[in-house]
Amino acid sequence: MQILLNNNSMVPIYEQLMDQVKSEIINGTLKENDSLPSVRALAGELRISALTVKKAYDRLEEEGFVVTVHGKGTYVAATDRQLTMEARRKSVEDDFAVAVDRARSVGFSKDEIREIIGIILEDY
Amino acid sequence: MVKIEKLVKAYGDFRLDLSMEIKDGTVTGIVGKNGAGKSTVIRAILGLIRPDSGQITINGKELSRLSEAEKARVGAALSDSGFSSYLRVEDIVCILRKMYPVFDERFFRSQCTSLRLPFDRKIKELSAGMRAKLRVLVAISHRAGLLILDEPTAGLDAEARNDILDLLRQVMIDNDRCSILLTSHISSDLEGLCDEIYLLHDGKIVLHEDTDILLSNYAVLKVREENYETLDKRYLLSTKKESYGYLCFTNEKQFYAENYPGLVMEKGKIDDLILMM
Amino acid sequence: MFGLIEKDLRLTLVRKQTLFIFLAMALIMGQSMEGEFLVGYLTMFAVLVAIGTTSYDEFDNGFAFLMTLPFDRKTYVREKYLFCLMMAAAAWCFGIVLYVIGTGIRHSAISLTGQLPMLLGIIPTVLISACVMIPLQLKFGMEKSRMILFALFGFIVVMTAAWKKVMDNGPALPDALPPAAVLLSLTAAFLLLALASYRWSVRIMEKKEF
Repeated sequence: MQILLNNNSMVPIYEQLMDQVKSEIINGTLKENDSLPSVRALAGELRISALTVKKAYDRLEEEGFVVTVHGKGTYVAATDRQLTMEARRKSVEDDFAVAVDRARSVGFSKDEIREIIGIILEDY
Repeated sequence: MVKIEKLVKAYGDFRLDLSMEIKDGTVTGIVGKNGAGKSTVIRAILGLIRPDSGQITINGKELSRLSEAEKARVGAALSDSGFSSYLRVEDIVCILRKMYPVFDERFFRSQCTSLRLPFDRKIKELSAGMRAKLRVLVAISHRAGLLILDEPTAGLDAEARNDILDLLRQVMIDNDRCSILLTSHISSDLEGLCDEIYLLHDGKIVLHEDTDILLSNYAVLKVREENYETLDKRYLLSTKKESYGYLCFTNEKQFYAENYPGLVMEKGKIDDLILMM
Repeated sequence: MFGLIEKDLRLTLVRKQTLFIFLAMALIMGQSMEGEFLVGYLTMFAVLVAIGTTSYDEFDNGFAFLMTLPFDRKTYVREKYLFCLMMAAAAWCFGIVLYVIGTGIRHSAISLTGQLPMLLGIIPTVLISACVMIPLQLKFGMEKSRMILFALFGFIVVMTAAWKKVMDNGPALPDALPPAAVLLSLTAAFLLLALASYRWSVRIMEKKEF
C-alpha cells in the first residue's frame, strides 16, 4: 500500500487516505482479504494521528470496502463489482462536476458546456 | 485512563484551573506558551505537587492510593529532571532492572545503540539531545500503560526531535493499549502524533479538539480592512489586528471557503493560534 | 526498594577516588591507631557517604524525577535509613577485620572480647548521628545541612571522647555504669531516636513539592 498525503491540501487527511485506499482496492492493487496495516502502524508510518487513520478505516468499513475483525485487524472486503463500479462512476461524476464548476467560473453558459461535451464525444 | 476534575493550583499571580481527560489508548497533547501551566498539570498528575483543590484519578484510583505495581505501569519523563547526572547509562540499566518488575533490557540496549548513547559515559557528559533521548527511553522501556512526558522535544534540533517522536510512534505500535500524554510549546510536534490536543493559556484550557478536526476544519483567514466589516463573524474564534487588516482564526473553514471565495485562507496550524493568544 | 538501594550503591561508587583515599588513610591508621578509633572512623565515614547520596538525589532538581518511579515517599525515606544501617554495618565489619589483621601483625595475641562492648557501641553512636543528619538533609538540602553537619561533626567528636572517658573510667564507677548497660542504653536511645527521626523524615518528604 502506497499512501501519499498532502498536508497542505484543503481536503481533510482522512478523506485523502480513504480515497487512496479505495483506488487501490478498485484498481486491484489491494485484493480481497488482504490485510491493511494496523491503525497505529499506519499512523506512525504516515506521521499522522491514530484517530485520523481510525476514522478513515471506519468510513471505509461503512462504505463496505473493508472489514474490521475485532482484535485481529482490518481486511479488504469481498469486492462487490457493483459497488466498485458505483464508486468509479461516482468519482467520474465528481470530475465532471469540477470541470463544470471551472467552466462556469470563467463564464461558459450551460449551452456552451453542452456544446463542448458534444464536440468531445464526436471524436469517439 | 487519567481524569482531572476541577484541578486548581495557584502560585502567586498564576492560577491553574482546568478539567481534562486522557482516554484509554489515545495520545493526548497539551500545547501552550512557556508559563501556560503545562508542567504544573504534569506535576499534579504525577503527584509531585499537591493541588489546592480538585481530583486526579488514574484508572479510577486516586494517586496516593496507587500501589507500587500500579505506579510501575506509569512511565514519566520530565524536562528538567532525571537520574543523577553523575551516573552512567550502564548504571541506569542496572537500576531500572531492579526498579521495575518488567524492564525490557533488550529494547533499552538496542535503542541506546541505535541512538548512539554511550553506555560507559556519565549523563552529564552527554549532549542535550542525548540526555533528552535517554529520559524518554527510560520512560518507555518498562512497558508502561501510561506515558507522561513533559516537553520531551524542548530545546532540540529538528533531527533529535524527530528521533524522539519516532521513538514514541514505535511505542504506540509495539504497545497497542498504551496511552500517552505529552506537552510541547511547538504544536507541529504534536500534530503528527496526538489524537487530541488541548491548548493551554494562562492556566486555562482555551481549546480542546481532535487533531483531525483541528487540521481539517480550522483555518487562519487573512482579511483586508474593507472586507472585514462584511465578514460573517459567527465562526471566528479570535481576531487580531494586522497592518493589512485582520488575522482571524476559525473552526468552520468550509463556511468561509464557500461564502467568501476570494478570501486568503491558510490551513489551521495550532502554532498560529498560540501566537494569537 | 531494591532499585533504590542499587541506585545508592552506584551513587556511592561515583565517588571512587574519595573512597579510595579514605580507605588508604584507614589502612595507615590501622597500623598505628587504636582499634576503636579506626573502626569508629570507618563507620562514621560510611554513614556520611550513605547520607551523601541524598544530595545526589537532590542535585539538579533530581527529586522530581525520582518521585515518579514506582515507590512512595515513605519507601524512599525507609531506604535511606536502611542504606545507612547497611553501610555502617559493612564498614564496621571491615574495620574490625583491618584491626584484627593490624594487631595480628604487631602483636601475637589478640583480645577482642575486652574491647567488644566499646567497639559495638560505635554502631549505635554513629547511627544516632545519622538519625539527626537524615532529616536535616531532607529538610534543608545539601547546602545548609553541610554547615549543620560540620557543627554536628564537632559534637560527635566530643561525644566519642566523652564515651571513651566513661568506658575508661568504668572501674571507678562500677555500680553506675557497667559497659554492657551503657551499650544497652545506647542501643535503646538509638532505637527511640531512629523511630522519631524516621517519622520526622517521612513528614518532611510527604510535605515536599517538586
